[in-house]
Amino acid sequence: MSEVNRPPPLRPLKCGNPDCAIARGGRCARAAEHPQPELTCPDLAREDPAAAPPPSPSTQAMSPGATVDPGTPAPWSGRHLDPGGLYDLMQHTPARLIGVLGPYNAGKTTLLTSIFLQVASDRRNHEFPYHFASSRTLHSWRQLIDRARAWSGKPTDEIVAHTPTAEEAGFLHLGLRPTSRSDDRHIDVLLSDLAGEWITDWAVRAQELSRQRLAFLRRCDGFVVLADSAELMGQKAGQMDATLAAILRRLGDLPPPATAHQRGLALVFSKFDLVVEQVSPPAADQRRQQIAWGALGRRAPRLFRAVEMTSSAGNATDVFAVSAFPRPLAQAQPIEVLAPLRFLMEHADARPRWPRPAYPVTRGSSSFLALRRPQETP
Amino acid sequence: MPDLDKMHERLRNLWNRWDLDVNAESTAMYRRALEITATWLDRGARDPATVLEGAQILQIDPENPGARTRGAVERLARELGTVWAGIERKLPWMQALVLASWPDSGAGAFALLPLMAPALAEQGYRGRLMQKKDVLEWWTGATQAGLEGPGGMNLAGVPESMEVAISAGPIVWFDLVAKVSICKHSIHSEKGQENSNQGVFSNVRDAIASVNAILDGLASHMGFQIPAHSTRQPDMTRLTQAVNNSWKFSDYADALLNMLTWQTSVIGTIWLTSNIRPAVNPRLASDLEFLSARRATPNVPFHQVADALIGILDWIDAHLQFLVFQQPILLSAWAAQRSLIQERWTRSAAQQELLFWGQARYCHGLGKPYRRMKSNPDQILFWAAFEAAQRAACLPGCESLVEPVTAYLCEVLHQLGLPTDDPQQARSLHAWLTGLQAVLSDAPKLSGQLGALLQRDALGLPVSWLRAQGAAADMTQAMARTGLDLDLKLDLGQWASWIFRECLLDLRLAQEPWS
Repeated sequence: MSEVNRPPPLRPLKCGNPDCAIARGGRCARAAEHPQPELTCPDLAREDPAAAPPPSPSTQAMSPGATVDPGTPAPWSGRHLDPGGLYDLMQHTPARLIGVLGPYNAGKTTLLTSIFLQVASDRRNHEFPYHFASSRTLHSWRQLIDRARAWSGKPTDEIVAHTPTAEEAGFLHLGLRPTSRSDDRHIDVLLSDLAGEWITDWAVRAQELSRQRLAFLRRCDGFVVLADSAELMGQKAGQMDATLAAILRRLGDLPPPATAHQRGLALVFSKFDLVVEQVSPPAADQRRQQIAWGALGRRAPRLFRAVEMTSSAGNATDVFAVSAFPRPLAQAQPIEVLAPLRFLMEHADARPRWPRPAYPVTRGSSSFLALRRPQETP
Repeated sequence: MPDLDKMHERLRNLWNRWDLDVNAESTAMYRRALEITATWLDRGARDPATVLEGAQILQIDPENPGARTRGAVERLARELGTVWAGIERKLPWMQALVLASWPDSGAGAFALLPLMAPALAEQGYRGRLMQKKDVLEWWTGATQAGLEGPGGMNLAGVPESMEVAISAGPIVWFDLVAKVSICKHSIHSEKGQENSNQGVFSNVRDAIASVNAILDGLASHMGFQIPAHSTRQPDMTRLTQAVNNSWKFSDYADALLNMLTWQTSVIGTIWLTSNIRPAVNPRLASDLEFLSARRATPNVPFHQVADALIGILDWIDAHLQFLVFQQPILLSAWAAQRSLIQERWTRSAAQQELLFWGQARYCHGLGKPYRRMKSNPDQILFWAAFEAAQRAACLPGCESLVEPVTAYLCEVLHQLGLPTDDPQQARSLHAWLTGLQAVLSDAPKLSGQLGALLQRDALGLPVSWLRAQGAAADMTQAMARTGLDLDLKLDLGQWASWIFRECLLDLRLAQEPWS
């Protein structure tokens, strides 16, 4: 515990720790370390900011014996969560982890940006049963949106920057609340934002580094696999088909989730606005059939076989046609970007009622009085 | 002290199943946290508040807002704060600790667990796929432990046979004494028959054997000096043969007289040495002489000797009972047996009270029959459940009888014409609570004990929360305070069962000094 008495706190009380309830009249989140938080807790905003040290990372306070380094930046910086931040969040609540996968330039980050824009907008989408509640990676989302707003509209220009390969795996966070009035849970959804090169390496080449980078996949509650429609209709269709099939096969090999609920897998044909004149998206009940996708389906036979294979392995699968940014942001709405997420959340957030417990039946109970007989004396 | 290794093993299994990241360097901390949690839970044997808080921690959905600031969580977090700061922010970890440390025995206040989590019994929870299986297994196991609590004294059953083990093996004193009475009565009822009534005579043989056993017991366990009986074994063999072959009196009279003479003289000796001088039956000598005179008479009818036999056995019975019941150790054993008999009688009286209430269908609280309240089904539901709980609370081990009593309650409601099983009549928990709120104005107040517990946290106890708040209850706060899904659909029978459990919890907490 800190023995340093700090400057008096600002009134009304304000605390930088997201888990602290002292400002609302509740208990300090670090009460175990600071029995008198108004005197000693470093997270409280104080009258002389120059004299008060910066807030300490609350994660380091969780482990006993850990020393608090005032110079360490707060873990909740608003940027992408690293694997440490991911696992830390998953200790607090049963967060839903969604793996967003696909080859280079498939449109993974673009899809995530579009999803965030749809969810976080004020408009209530009656097809998506959640609304936006919070995010721990707001800064990252903001950067992606700013970049997307600046897009010129030309297909050759990048909508968002390519995810760099040099950094650690990053995860974006969405806090959702169900739209049902009787359900006020706060659900943490974590979406992976990885470089396509990593994913291809993991799927196609058995490398230890790739395996370590994507070790989180076994804990995922669902997967989105993006396939670039325009590439599949182009010259490199065969290569793209093989890579995507390899990704799906590797996903099918993953062990089932710990909860034994069904894991969802959404195959998303991205940039569909570029091929819509050649391919019509099929009806919902035919989406998993290769033949229903016409020319696109004919160019991805291995992909659709892999879809069937992952479905046989116990994953719930479906196929979607999506266009995240058909036009610049101010000119058009995205098409069907929430459909894959809705599908995955149906499985990741499945909430069947608990069954009635089986009550023990006492041996020899034949009457109201003799419902419990004593044990026989030996 | 609970087995820490076993708890650690349980915790490890929970980590794996719940996908919680383990820090290998913190093993000592985990063990210390387990020890603290187990010590905290151990208090539950005498403190219902601890059991309730432990059960509430396991019922919390970590995704519900305000989960980490609930009273039950704060309470345990304070205990664990010295070794694990911030544990309340890792609710799945806290729940794993409680599950791993829950005691295996259902003693004391742990027996009240089936009453403390009605939502678990009525499918009140959803989702939590990672934890569901383990929480349901805990619930079933803890309920079973409550049924098989130590000693059986607080449970539904009463030992059927009254055995008293004194030193070297049990001697069924009272059954033995009873056999003499049985024999007497059977001779009396059958004495009009011709002799060689095998059934009657086998009772005589058994009575004689019982008296022998009692006398042997008095000798070996009480230190009485008893003269030896040199022909005892041959005499008993002859009596047994007489029974098996339906001999006439003259054939077994010698053996019978030898046994009776020896037994009466031993009993007389014990009386004298014990300085006890009860009234002596002057007929004993004449009865023995009568039998002795008849033993050489061929074909003597049984009824002629029956009266004498009855007289002798009567003397033996009276003196033996007096002797037996005078022994201090037997008196204390008798006191224990009497308390068991008393418990059985109490149970029987309480059962009858419940059954009579169910048949009469009269609401004592409002002073009118339930059928005159049919215009207000919510009122019937509450009062029927409450009055059933009042009567069930008098049953020893009532916590183990929740299921059959709620079934009986539903039958009573069904007889009143209420649709207990109709799924069309299912309503949401919110609707049921709203209906209940309207009828609580003249309901009995909640006891102080449960009211104090609910001040900290009302998780999982909506009926008690409503009773505590009364008419001022803010239903918009119901979901936050109770932590329940108010859209949960319950039929009338399920709702009646829920009210019953909570009312019974209130009455049981008020009944005894727990600490």
